[in-house]
Amino acid sequence: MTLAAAPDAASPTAGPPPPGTEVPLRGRFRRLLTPSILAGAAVVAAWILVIAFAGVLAPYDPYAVAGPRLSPPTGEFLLGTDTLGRDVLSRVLHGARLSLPIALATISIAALVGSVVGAVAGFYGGIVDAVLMRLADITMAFPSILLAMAVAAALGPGLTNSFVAIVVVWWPIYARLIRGQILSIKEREYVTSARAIGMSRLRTLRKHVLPHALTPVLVSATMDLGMIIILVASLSFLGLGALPPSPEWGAMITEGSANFYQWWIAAGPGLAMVTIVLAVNFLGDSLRDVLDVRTRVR
Amino acid sequence: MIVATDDERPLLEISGLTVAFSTTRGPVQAVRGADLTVRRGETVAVVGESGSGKSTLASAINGLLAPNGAVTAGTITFDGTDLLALPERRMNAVRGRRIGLVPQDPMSNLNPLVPVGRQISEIFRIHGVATGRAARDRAIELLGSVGIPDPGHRYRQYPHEFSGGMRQRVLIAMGLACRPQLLIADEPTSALDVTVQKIVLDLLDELTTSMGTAVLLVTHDLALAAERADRVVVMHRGAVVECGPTATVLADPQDDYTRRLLAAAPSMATDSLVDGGTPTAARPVIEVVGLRKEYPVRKGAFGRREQFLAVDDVSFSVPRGRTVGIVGESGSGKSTTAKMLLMLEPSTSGDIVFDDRDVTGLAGPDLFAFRRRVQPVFQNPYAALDPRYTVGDTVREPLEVHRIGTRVEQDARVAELLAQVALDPALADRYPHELSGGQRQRVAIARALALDPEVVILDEAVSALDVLVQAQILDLLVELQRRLGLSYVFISHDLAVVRILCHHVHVMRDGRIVESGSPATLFRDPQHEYTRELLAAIPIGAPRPEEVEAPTA
Repeated sequence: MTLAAAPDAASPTAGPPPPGTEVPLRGRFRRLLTPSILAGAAVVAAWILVIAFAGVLAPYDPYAVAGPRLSPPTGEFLLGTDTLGRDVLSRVLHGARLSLPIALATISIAALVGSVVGAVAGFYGGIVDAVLMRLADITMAFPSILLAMAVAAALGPGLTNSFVAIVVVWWPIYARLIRGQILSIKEREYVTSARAIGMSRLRTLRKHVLPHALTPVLVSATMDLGMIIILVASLSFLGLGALPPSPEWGAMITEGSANFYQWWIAAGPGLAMVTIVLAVNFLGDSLRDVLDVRTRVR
Repeated sequence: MIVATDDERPLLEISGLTVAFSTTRGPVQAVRGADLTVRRGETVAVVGESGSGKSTLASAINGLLAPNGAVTAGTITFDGTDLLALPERRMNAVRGRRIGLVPQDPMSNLNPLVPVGRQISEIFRIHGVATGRAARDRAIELLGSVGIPDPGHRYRQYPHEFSGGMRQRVLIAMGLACRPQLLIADEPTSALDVTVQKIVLDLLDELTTSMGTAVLLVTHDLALAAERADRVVVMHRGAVVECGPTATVLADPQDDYTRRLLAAAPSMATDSLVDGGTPTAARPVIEVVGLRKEYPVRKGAFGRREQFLAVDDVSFSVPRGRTVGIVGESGSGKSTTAKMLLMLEPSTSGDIVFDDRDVTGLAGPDLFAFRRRVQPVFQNPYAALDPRYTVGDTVREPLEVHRIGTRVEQDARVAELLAQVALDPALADRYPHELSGGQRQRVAIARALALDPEVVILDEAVSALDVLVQAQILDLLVELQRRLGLSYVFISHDLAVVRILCHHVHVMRDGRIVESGSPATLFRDPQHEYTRELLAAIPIGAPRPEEVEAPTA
């Protein structure tokens, strides 16, 4: 055998890697430990603990009268009491068990539905693409809160229905995002190469196309989680989501809005929402920095 | 080409230049102690493979290094001024005015939103040479001088209305707008077809000679450097390994790397890698008869649908165990032909007879079975492998799809295939980004061979590789053909490579085959005008000793 046995002299590591090279993730994670990320992660971790141990952490029963009505924050009631004398802090802590899992489930299902629709549309093209994408366009033509209100109103109030309403409004964002990705990925040579060995279209999509398209969806979903938390609360605030006496944050703010001068009733859930939304946005930003090749510094 | 000047001081003097980039893996030296001199009016070529530091060297002169790069040692003296000591504001006055730049990619270096003419007159305004109407007139004059017809009209057009060669002329016009003393041309024609390349380089020569401008030509193409430069500087791994007058370097290279580079670069004088032999009596493995491909195109927003003919009545055959080359420039239809041969693109009409059976219109299990027998290797070693899968997974995949063997048998086959392309089987666990370009292309070949195909379609399979690596892959292809009896369809724009690898060559232009023949006869005595044009456009370099003798058949 006279094959040139010497492996090709790899060009030395001089200069930036050629375009198309994927830099290993390990190196990119090293840039992660910035203050905003650590703060975001700490807040999110704290809220996860709250969800897990709300029963232990809450000083009172969130549904029972615990003291005098409309007590301002005191040493006994850290965030005051509401119109019925229930402890606001206990209700906020228990409310986290409703608001945050619902938001997480909503975003996950919306991303999943959107990804499947977008992937099918982008990969198969033609009439399938045209129909699915016009559907997405029509959905996106409505202001999201308005459409979600309409769907929730049609289904009737309740947290499950507001979950459905938001998924209906939100999937097109991911469908469009992933479709664009797929359109460019399916022209890559390794996809053509998969076709040339006779791999089925579905398997090609699953093995060689989708995995490359999911990163932006993951990033975008994380960034959107904050908005979804607010949207869930908004529907409850408008009376279309969770109903009293549920300690869902939006519903609590509604109760607080009737008692303007007893600011603590709305401030409790409001502050809770601010902390988690900010923390999630910080995390989403940094996740994008790590995963998104377009913002990668050389 | 050297213009006599009273001033004998060199125009550009670089000594001991070291450039380092800070990366996540620590500092990397891209240029190490490079020395370079450019005298007034002469053309100096910097030759090297990718990663040799030649482009970094050019950017350092202009002070345009990437933000993470810095000059850590050495000096750059331009016309008596130390450029490295110059503050940014004064450097701006040098860039564009006294040192012009012609960048590589004509597609991305013009602003698509600004008319071409305004992009040129902007240079005059920036450097205070001319403003308003005067700037406009000078820009039009300049467009005319780089050979753009009807420059007054073209002045108002946008970059997308120009072809690649025309855009490169515009970039040359911009580089030369202020009649600089030095023009840095960084791979000015790498993105262009060979016939266009010749026209553009001739133009560059003519203009710089008439202006007395010195040229620093950065290129990977040794033959091109030999043809165009007075002196050649060879770079390897950041260091200058050889430098001297072109003829001397080519005739009597002192450095070992230069010698290897010269030996590896295929030229029209290199011996063929395959023996001509007698045509085999057996029936050809593939016979293409009257193949056509039309694409519907729409002219304008409401225009009528029209048919664009990408491949027009193409017929040829591929004898078993032989290599058939298809040569052409971009848009000639050669890649579309490859896609139809691979059944990746349906043909509009015509037959592809594979082993006595028409395979156009195959579907389902028949198509699946056909795929085992014809496999592709594509151009780009960086795009051809899915970065998420290891080398082993990539090579095994065809076996999995066709359900060949158990997992253990597949593992053994993968190791065997990797050994066959001269790769260490231990590489099976590596990911593509850990491999060099040549290693990746070997993996792509191993994958193509996994199903024991009879025909391999090589679509520009060596075009993106550095010349030394390219030579190794060509040797590998020839060796595999001899051992496995493979038939190749080799699609390329590079006539020199086609000449040494193929038994039979077809020249394509605008979707048609204009000339066919064995490389020996076709290249020695081309009949069609276009073939002659192609051959004349290839940079032949300075005469080499072996060229004095008659070309080998």
